[in-house]
Amino acid sequence: MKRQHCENEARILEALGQGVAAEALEEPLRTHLANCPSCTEILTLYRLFQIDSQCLCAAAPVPDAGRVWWRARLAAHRAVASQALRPIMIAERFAVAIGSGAAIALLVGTLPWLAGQIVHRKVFSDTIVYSFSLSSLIVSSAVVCLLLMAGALYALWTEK
Amino acid sequence: MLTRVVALARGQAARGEAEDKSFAMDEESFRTVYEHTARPLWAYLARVSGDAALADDLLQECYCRFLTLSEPPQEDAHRKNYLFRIATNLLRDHWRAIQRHGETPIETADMPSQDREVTNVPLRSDLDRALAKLKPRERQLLWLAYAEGASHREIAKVSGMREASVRPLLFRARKKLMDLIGGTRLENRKA
Repeated sequence: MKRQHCENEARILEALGQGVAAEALEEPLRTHLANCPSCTEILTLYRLFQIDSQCLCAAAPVPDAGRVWWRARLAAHRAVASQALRPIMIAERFAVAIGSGAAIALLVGTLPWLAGQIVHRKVFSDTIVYSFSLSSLIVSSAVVCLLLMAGALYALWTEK
Repeated sequence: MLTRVVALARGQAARGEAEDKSFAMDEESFRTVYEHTARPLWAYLARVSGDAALADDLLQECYCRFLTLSEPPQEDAHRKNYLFRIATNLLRDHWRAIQRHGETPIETADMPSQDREVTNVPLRSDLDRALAKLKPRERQLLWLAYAEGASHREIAKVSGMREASVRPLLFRARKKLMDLIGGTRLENRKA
């Protein structure tokens, strides 16, 4: 048998929601409730849910209102701060991009000259001999170290 | 130019600090609202999600969002509905995030298993066992209608669905739950 819903369901639920007990419902509605399986079902469920809700509410481990208030303030403060710092972040990223680009362009432009400074090419009767001077190797290593240190310092600074 | 940007940011930060000191309501009014609504809201979140820890987190997030409203509802009933709406949206976001990460899909998300520790809150009642077998949306509808006593219009507002859709969905959810409760009782009797 197909189960139908009853037109009085909403009225009964409304009355129950307003705290009216099933026994204290208005007369035509009370008689209807006793004879209508759909409305009886609603009453059963309503009571079940009310008991369950009361048990849950009594045992609910809700935090203190003050804690929630401060958490909300903290979240709002963080949101405002991140919004305010956005222009600085954008400028910083822009500066890093420009700086990196300039450094790469400089390196690419001066690479042949640097290679010529570090590696010495000598021709001995049909044979080409490459030699490295110790001082230029030391200088180039120092430059690389300095660049790496600068990068690391920048990374540390941005972390802080 | 950088100096100008820094000055601008400082100005914005100062303005922001002034703004965040004044939510739309003061702490005392918030306390009153919280005392009236926190427990029912937690119960709703716990029953619909089936996870007490998640309910704790979402409850706090609900109030954080509520406090940042520029014009929070003034009437008690509206406030409560608004909070339930925020909670429903947060639950939906949570399930969507789970779905995106390839875990349990939204419509078949089950309550946690019985062996899961959920503090000392009575999450595992007969009703809960039956509710666990329903879809999250059905749990929401049933809880709002029967535990909160919300009208179809209020349920529609809270859940974001059309008012006309609430009635048939609620009817189906109710029938499903009644069948499940009947089944559970029969199983208990047999045991």
